Amino acid sequence: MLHIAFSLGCSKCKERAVYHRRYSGQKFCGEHFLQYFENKVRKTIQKYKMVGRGEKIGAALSGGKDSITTLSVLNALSKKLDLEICAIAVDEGIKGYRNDTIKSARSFCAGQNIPLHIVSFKRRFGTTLDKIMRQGKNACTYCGVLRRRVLSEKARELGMDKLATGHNLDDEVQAIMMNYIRGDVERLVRLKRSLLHEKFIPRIKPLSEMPEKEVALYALLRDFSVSFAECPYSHGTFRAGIRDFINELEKNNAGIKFSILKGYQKLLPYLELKTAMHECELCGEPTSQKICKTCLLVKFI
Amino acid sequence: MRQMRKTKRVIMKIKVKLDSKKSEVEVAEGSTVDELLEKLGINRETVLVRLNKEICTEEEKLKPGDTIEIIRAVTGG
Ligand code: SF4
Ligand SMILES: [Zn+2]
Ligand SMILES: [Zn+2]
Repeated sequence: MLHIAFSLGCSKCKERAVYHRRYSGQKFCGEHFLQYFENKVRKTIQKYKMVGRGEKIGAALSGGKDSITTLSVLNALSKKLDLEICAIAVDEGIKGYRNDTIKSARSFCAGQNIPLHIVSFKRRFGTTLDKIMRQGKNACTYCGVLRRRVLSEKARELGMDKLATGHNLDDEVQAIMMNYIRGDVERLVRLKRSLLHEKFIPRIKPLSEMPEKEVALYALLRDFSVSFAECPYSHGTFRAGIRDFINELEKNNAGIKFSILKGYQKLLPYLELKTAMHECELCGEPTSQKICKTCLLVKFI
Repeated sequence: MRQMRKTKRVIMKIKVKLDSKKSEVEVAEGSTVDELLEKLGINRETVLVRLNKEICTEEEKLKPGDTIEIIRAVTGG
């Protein structure tokens, strides 16, 4: 009996555990999990020198667990590092999904006294993602490209030094695997190395070494009123297939997500980003092509 | 209790809440949360679990009449 009680307890204090971190064998009670999580995110920020003292950081805020957690951790660091934090939310125009998440974003920022800027596809491109979908287009392609554009524009307009996104370890590993499978070496390199151009605001991903399950647990324990709503367009995508496949692997090989990330990082020095950056002939944004992806896509809507 | 141990595979009923749907699932006595998830075809890497309202690890043992809430932690979008 004693043995069972112990094995279910936190590795640090023997309190009842809420999480078993299989890839390290540790168990955490709620309090020690929060401590571990925040420490690790701070270490990740330091390791990759994501922020500098006195910088202005814009955090992309979707209202989901990842972006709210990112914003919260950065906000907690802001005093110590003299950071100026604001949030930028994008309304792509996805009915029944975005309304929910934007509501979470609003209430979080109001509670924490963080300035929130909302930009919408409707105002910027004159259309919504729902309308683009009705034209039979691939939602995620449009969504990703256009969202990146409105975020960059807003961050630049606000004079931000960095743009933080909520990408977690799972997102990173999915992107790595997708690019491996497609043989898209250029995008594989770009995942880590920011494009070098004066107009381009560097991206940071403070949660990039936190498994998605841990981010969800953190948000739950912190009682963030996050939206767990799922985008209606996320089903049956290539990414969703890769996600399930990786989680299946992780289940039987604890730590496989980290080894995929580490393997990728080992490979990086051997990969060279050949394409030079210049300005798009139509809109002037930095791109490796003559015409940027946004302009190419916008032509068809 | 003593009587239950005599029979080999005693079944216990667990109340399960998933995606705001409630149901009752039968598992063998002494099963863990992990085994329940397995039975439901849910990958533990993608969910968080509350046992009688408290978040728990998947090693936790179930008792008859327990309530389990399964929260999908890994979603798209
Ligand atoms: S899943 Fe939804 S929110 Fe995510 S990129 Fe696709 S359309 Fe956009
Ligand atoms: Zn503890
Ligand atoms: Zn352009």
